[in-house]
Amino acid sequence: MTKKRKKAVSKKSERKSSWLRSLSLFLFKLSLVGSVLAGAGLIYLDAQLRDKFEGKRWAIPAKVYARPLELYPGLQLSQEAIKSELQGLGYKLTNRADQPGTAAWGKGRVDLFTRGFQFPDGAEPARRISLGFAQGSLKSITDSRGGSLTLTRLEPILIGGIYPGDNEDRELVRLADVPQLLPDALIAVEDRDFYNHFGISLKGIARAIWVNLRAGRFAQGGSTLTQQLIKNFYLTSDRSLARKLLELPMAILLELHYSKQEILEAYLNEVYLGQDGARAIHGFAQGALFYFGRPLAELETHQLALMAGLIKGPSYYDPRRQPARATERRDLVLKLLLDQGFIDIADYNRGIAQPLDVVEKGSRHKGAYPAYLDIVKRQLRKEYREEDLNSEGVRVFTTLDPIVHMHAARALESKLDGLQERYGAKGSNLQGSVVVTDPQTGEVLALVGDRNARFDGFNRALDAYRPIGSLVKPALFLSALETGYTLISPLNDRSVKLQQPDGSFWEPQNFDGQPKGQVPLYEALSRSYNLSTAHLGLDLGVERVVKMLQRLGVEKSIAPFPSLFLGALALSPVEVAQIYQTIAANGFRMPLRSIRRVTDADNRELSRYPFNLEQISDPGAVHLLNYGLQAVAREGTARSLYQTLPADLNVSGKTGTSDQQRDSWFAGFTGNRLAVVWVGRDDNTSLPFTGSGGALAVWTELMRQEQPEPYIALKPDNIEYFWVDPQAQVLTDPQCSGSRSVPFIRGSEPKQRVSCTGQLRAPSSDHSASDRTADDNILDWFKGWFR
Amino acid sequence: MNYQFLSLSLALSLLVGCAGSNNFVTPVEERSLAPVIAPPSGTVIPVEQSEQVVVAPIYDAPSFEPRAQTPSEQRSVPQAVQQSMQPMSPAADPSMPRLESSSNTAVVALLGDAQQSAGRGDFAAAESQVERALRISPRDPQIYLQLAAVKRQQREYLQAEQVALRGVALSAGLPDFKRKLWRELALIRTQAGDFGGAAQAQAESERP
Repeated sequence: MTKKRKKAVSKKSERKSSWLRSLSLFLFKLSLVGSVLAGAGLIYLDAQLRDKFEGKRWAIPAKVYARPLELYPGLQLSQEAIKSELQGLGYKLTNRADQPGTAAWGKGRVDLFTRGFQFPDGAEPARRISLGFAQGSLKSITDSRGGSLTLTRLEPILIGGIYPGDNEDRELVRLADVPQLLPDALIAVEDRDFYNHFGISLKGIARAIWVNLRAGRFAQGGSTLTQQLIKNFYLTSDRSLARKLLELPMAILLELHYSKQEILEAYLNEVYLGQDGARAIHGFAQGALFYFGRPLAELETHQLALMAGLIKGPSYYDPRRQPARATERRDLVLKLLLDQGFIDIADYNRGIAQPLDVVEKGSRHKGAYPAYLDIVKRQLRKEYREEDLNSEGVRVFTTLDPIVHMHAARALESKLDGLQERYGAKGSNLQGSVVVTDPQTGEVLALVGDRNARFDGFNRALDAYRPIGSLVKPALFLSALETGYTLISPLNDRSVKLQQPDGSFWEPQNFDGQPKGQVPLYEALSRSYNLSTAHLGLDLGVERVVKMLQRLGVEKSIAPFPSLFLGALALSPVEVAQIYQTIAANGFRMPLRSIRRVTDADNRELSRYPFNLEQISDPGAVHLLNYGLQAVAREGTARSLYQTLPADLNVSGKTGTSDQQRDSWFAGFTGNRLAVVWVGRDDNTSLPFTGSGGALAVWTELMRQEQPEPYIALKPDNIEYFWVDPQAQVLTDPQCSGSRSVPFIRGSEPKQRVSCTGQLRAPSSDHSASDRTADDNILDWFKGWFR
Repeated sequence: MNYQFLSLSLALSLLVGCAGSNNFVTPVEERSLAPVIAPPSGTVIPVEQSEQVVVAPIYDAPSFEPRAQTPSEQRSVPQAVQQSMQPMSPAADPSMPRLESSSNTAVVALLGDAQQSAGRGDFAAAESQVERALRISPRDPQIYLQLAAVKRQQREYLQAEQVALRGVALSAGLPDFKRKLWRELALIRTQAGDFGGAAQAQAESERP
């Protein structure tokens, strides 16, 4: 081997020798030095080559997955929803689901052949299952032998990656997992002598020269697959002669060290196949996803032929932009495969009859969730080094629900379009963001940071810090309810003016400018009265409200000014979601989670983000607060939502409008969905609508599509319901006008009882409303007439 | 302040008070909406005696005027709650709320797996399995009971306690679960060395 090397080098110096003897002696010495240097260079090159080939050959970007869709009988899931999930996974709709990655549609029934997936907590096998649907939910799951399954899950949709600086996206594949036709096609098209040459093919070069001469132009290159690999793999893209000269010895060295199979596998994973914006598509596994939206193993003959044909010029033959050229190229590859006996005539005829089958770029889930990937990356970067994320093939399992995301993105877009239409120029340049979580688990289901959910820019869900207005009130009212106020405590709704610590005067107004006199506490909340809230806040003290906000989950520092009572606090939608999450979970704060697990490429767990919580308030006080927040939706500022949503949804939430109507907010939850919506403008100008006019409309549309479960406020032990007259703050009877059933922390209920006509009766401490029977009530009512 | 104005507004608010149920009607932020029709003041609003109430209310429902007595109390009690209340024939009732008992089979299977994992000492796997169940049925106190036990076995006493407390909050109307959760809390606190807290939890678990 050393001999060979020296020979190659000395050939060069011989050419340069001249008739001058002394000079030739000098040159001989020089060439000796040169060949030693070249030899050393080759040894160095050899070492590098092996190092690179055997070490980290490719930087594998981290893969980020959506939540897997869990399938179990009883799950609320429409056939429409599972269709969009399967489309996201690139399933092919067929008549018979007989291969992994296929699905067949029937009435009330979907058959599918899952691909199986290696989850961090266990493998899900690939299998044929049949799903039965009725009334918008999944009724049954049966396997191919007719047995019923209690639980299975689909593979998760890949929603993005974390790429290194050069933006190479790659998915690795083993030669054994590649359909045999692909290497066949590569050899047929690019390097017929692959199995016979030693890295460079003299026959190939000769043929290339012959073809080029005959054609009178450069029509065919003589590079072997090995040379192409070297070129892509080790050398930079600049095409200097030195590079070209290095390519030959390196190709030979590579062949000396590695088998044809290893070289072929490397080639399959290295080859450049196209460009998606800044993202370079490398390797056939990635190419299959990029062009066909399906895994490589599931591609058919004509699709494999197209990809093999693309190598020559991914941009020139781009099947999306140059379908005619691409088809011609593909058919040529099919012809070569036929001529060389890799396929038969039937395969060939079937292949050329097929369309290109390329999926639209936009239909891929990659690029659909920029705001969500943003929050995932921020969290990962706190714990991992950038190079580990973009090169180690880390797998990230997130909590994103693509179906919820689709609803959120649609709701925001359609409602903002509607507002723009309604308000004309005044409604132009509206922007918005939506955060959706599961109120029971704290998992972030969707995040939309722009009116165009695909826009990868300013992420308003995380980075738009805007005054939250009345969204702050629940913190204040919860403090009050904790310190002994009841839902019917009378609040003073009269004007107030005071000087703030910075010298400015603070003089809040009600929305309609009218003081309301004296109002029960729950009503001040449900109607979002500012004056009574301000008085209540002053009574509680600003420190207590700041503390409460921190307990509820606000981490940033909060300026302790009285204007805080009415929401002079700028938070991002995600921070607001954290506050309402705690309220929705009966006073248990749980950090919002967007990641469940991180594993390495071999499925070893790197980190997990378990379900964590911390009780920050008495569930009784939170129950009272939620009564007030349900009143917001039932009869207060958000009641328009029941024009669209079912009355038994029991929505709990709050509208918010900042000073001069610059921000329109709504934060609210049902049994299994919590959403925060912000609508406003990037330049912070006034809006022609309030929280209920803008954000609430988006929220309502989102929930209309989601069809969530109703919110059930479980009654803690220390809570009891009483029929009261909230104005008079007395116990009364259910049938009396204006009486309501209101929860109280036991012992805090009014002691006086009044009949429907307003007459005072003996204090009744041992009879709660719920204890009293209808007979009692009728009797009381009857007695009332004779007093 | 302007006392005249104050007294005027006071008088006004009193007059409003006389108008009876009308303070539910004044729209504040959203004036463009159709007003909610309230019954004229003085009318007696009958309490709806809904015939479809099939599940006895386990908690008092709030009433909101003027839609007094929304049907909230007749629906969607968490599935575990329903089962505990109607253990005999849950399927026989056609008007059962939307959480079918069948969705529970997935949870039962996962909790069974988790128990096995924990039995092998593989608490990480057990935690994964219980969390998977939790995502499917996040208001089922049984799941919190098991998650608390797993966290305790992992010696994460702080989290174990919080999980159990949340389970207690979710087991309103389910005295059996509540007792089990308090017993688990007593165990957690004992193992964490909080004997006073453990005694308290024990007392709670023995409350009738």
